[in-house]
Amino acid sequence: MRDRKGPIGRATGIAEGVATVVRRRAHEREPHAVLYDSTGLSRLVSPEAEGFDALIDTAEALVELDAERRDAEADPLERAAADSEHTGGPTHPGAGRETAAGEEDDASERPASKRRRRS
Amino acid sequence: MPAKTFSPADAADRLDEMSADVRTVAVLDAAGSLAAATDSDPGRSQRFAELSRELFERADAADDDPPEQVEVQVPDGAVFALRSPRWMFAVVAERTALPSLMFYDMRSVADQLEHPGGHTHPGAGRQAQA
Repeated sequence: MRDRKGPIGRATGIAEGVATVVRRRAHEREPHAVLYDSTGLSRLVSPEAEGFDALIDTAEALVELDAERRDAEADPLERAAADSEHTGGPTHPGAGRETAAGEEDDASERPASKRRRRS
Repeated sequence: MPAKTFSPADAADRLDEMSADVRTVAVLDAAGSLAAATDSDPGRSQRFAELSRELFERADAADDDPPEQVEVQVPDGAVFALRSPRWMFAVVAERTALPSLMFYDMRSVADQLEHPGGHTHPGAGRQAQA
C-alpha cells in the first residue's frame, strides 16, 4: 500500500532516499577497526572500547606516512604546477586536480606496475 | 637448476602489484624488524615498521584473543595488517579496497614467503570473512 500520492509524496520519497544515501556514506567514512582471529572470524571494535582510539591513531599515522611518501615521490613538474596553481600562476588543466569532496585523484600517480583494479 | 627464492622484497613487490588499491607495503620478520618495504626511503620505512608493530600491540590490547589480521579504516585510507608464524605484513591502501580481497592477497603472498619452495594454489590463504 502506498502511503503518499502525488508530487509532494514523490518529492518526499526522493528526499528520504537522498538522506539515506548521505547517512550511509557518512557512516562508511567513519573510522572503524575490525580484528580477525585465526579462523577468519571478525570482530568490530566498538568505538567505546578501550584501545579503539589507539588503534585509529596508529592507523592514521601509517596513512599520513604514506601520504608523505606520495608527496615526496610526486612528479616534480606536477608538484610545481600544483604550487603555481595555488599561487595563481599559469598551469595546465590537469595539474593539481582536486575533487569537490577533497579526495585525491590517485589515477595519475599510480605506478604503471599496477596491473589490475580489484575493486 | 637452483630453486627459485622468494624474498621479503619479492613479497612486498608482489603485494604492491596485485591491486591498484595498494599504496605502501612493509614486511617485518618475526622479531618485528623491517625485512622489506615498497617505500624507497629507509627512514620512513623504519617508521612504517614501528607503527605496524604498534598496530598489532594495540590490537592485542583491544582483544582477549590475539588477532591474526587487523583492518582499520580512517578517513584518508585503510590499513590492513596480517601476521603469519614468521612474518608480518602491513599495507596502506585506498579506502575503496575490499578487505576480503586484500586479506586474500596478503595471505597468498604470506603463504609463498612461508613456503618458498612449496606449491601454492589460487585458494591458498583463503579464509572465510565474516
